[in-house]
Amino acid sequence: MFEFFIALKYLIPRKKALSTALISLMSVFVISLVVWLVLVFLSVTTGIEKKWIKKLTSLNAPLRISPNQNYFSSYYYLIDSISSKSNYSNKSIEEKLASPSDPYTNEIDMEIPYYWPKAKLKSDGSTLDLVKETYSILEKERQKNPSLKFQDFEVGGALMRLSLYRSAKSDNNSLFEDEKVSFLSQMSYLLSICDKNPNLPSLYLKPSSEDLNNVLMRLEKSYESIQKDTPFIQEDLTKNDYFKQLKRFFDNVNVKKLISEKEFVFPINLLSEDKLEAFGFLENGKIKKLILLQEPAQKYSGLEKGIISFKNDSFVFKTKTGEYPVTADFFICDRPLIFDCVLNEASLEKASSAKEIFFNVKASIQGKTISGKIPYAGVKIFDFDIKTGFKEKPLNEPLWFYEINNKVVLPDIGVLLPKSLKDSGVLVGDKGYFSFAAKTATATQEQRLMFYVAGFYDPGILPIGNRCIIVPKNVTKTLFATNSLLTPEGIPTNGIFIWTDLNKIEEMKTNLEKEFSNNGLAPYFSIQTYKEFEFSKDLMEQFQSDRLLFTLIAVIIIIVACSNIISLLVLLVNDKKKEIAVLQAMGASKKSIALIFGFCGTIMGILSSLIGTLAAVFTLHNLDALVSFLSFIQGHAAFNAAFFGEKLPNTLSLDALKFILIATPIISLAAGLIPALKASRMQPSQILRAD
Amino acid sequence: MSTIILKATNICKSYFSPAKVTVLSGINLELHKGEAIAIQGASGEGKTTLLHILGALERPCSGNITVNEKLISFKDYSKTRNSLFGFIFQTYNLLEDLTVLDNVIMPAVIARKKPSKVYDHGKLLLQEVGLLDRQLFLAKLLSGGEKQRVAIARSFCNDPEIILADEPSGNLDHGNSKIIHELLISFVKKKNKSLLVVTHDEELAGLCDKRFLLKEGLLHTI
Repeated sequence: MFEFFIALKYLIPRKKALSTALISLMSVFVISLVVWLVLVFLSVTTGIEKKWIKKLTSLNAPLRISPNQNYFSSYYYLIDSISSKSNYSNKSIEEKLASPSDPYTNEIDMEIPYYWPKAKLKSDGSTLDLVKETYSILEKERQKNPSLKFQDFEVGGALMRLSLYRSAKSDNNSLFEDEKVSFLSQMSYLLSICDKNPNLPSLYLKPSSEDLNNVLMRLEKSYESIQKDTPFIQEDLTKNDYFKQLKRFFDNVNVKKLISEKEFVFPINLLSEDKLEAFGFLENGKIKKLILLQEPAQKYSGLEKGIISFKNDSFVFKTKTGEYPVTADFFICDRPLIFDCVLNEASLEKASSAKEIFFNVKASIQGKTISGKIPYAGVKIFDFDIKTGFKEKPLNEPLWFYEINNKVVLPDIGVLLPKSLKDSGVLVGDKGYFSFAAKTATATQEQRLMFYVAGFYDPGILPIGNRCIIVPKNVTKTLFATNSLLTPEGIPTNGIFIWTDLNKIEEMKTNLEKEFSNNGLAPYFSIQTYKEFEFSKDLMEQFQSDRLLFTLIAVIIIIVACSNIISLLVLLVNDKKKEIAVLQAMGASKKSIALIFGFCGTIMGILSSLIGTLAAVFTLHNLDALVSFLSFIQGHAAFNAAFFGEKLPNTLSLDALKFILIATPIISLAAGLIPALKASRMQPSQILRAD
Repeated sequence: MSTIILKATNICKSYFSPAKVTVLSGINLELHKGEAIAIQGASGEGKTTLLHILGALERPCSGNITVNEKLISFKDYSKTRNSLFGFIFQTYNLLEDLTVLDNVIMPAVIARKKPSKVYDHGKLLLQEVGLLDRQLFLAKLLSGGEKQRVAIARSFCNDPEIILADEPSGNLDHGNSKIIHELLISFVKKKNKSLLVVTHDEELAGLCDKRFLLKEGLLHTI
């Protein structure tokens, strides 16, 4: 194709046509820059959107079936309230699944009110069991698609009240002697844990050393007192119960290192016969304070230097002025000391509080090794291995959220709190209660359900995320009977979550709607995808608008950048006027001439797209460095972690790449068309005669 | 010399902007196969215009042109130019950034002929004009005489029936002019093609079979 060959020749920069070469290089540079910018921007925003959608569909499944008003006013739902077999109480979806389709017994139960709807019957005359029928449809879908998972959920509302006991030691101005307590209250949504949710583990934040220290410190106290209005009176566990709790802790945590706290009183039993340098504060011939330095030093703020040595079965501090006996009371370290440690298992059985748990420790001071046994007092867990995943049920269940064969488990009365509460100072091991109103015949009673914090999860940017607590199913079951059918935000309190591939969601919804309609279930349930959830609808619509807006902006800036091609090609057409006429004289058609300049535009577009794409891949590969640089220039974090996550997504978006690789050459071709038309309309005779 | 290859009947051409100027007023011309015709005339008499009209580079205001008794249609001017005519210009008009061989084969490339055959044919033509050793040179590196020899080779590339030459030696010294004249005429005769040449050069005109003088828009036999 000679047109392509000529176009290539025209685009190669030559000394003679320096201005054309410069403009063509500039055009390629500008388009590459725009391609780079659009690709990086769209990749990052698409990545963030995907991350948000993943978080959104991790807590709540991407597809949800929830009973609607027709269901709650149906015979099927109402009949439980007057049936003895149902204990005269309405049933949740899970309970309905295990109950008879029609529990009503004519002989025993009261007469059905005349205004109630009649039972819906199937074609064979039997009662249509809405829940069982739904499950059988879902089961059929699962046979077609084995990755499909579904489970019922319950949502309730309650006031969460947490008691936060903290050591007052680190706070010199505290009025509390050794412990202070604060309270945290928040109206919360309680979502029953869905152990089949495949995405929940990805939201879970593993306990930190601070969390584990808190768990260990709080372990000796019973939960029982936590719901009382006198929080200072906490009952201790019996020694046997405490041992069981300790086993649950230490069977699942291997403490590797301990760190000493501020003003750590150095245990004398760790000293050996090795001589150690220390600095003493002496007053009236007595040691007031003795500071052990981790590294040898010449001076220490005016204190007297001396050596600790072993003499006559005891340790003495020897200075130029004399010798003083060393006792533990005033012996401290200059800075936190890190110990390698191994738990002294034997101490667990005897322990009645955390201070009676012992560790065998080893550390290095002034190049000399010290070792011995120290209690869990004045030290904290610093490094550890924690177990959160098991193949079978562990003998001693962890005190935190864990998995058995990818199925998530909340231990006894543990709950998962949103990350924002962790940021407010709540730690794993903190205890509290849910307060909710239960109506009785004469009054509304406040009822309290105890819980402890078994972990935290990241709810992403869900508007209700910061108020959503994941709780064991028995908590929501207790609340279910007392609450309304919808939460104030319109979230259904009961329903079925369905997890499947995000790309198949719409198809799955259509299938289910069809099946529901064929089986007479359609009037009783609404099937919604995550795009329609009441709390995410606005966000999803915003995502869609944003995407459209970004694409529009991208197209506009690509058009602006490609318009450079017009000026370059107009210049090129004027420059190559004579050659165009010669080509025409040799028989090149107007179409061929237009094609040459069209190719010029397209080649530039493709070349720029490739350069821009390579630059974008390189930038995305080094995005963290770029973000750090931007943060450094601004003096603060360039991107807020709450919105963008800890790290900006750095995967090249294939959709963005497709868009760029299609849009840029097309726009470049369009830009080349104007000069191409100009060239094709030239009269060869006039140009050749002008010679 | 009996077959009429090109016949122009009553060709008129006027320009209307900025004022009406009649350049050609009823030109009749017959060019036979293997015949060489020279058209002479003062500058501005319309020689180049006539050549461009006969070579389908420009449309006449009225009149017909037939090639091989077939009327030239304005719709496929470019195809006609490519297959029937070979052009030689005073200023050579080579594509300067292309090699000599690429220049020679360009009309065949435009006709979308097979590259392997085209290259061999191009090399043969270059050998005939004595420039085979320059085949890979960029056209801009050649001298004027060499460029015109390349242009002659190029004009024969598609094996056209008619060669149209506009002052082929106008930019050359006497020695080079003589070489070009002899080359052109010998090529035309050897390949049994027809030549229509516009020239001031008496020597070239003298080598042609017929000579015409264009004066006041009409052709006069000399």
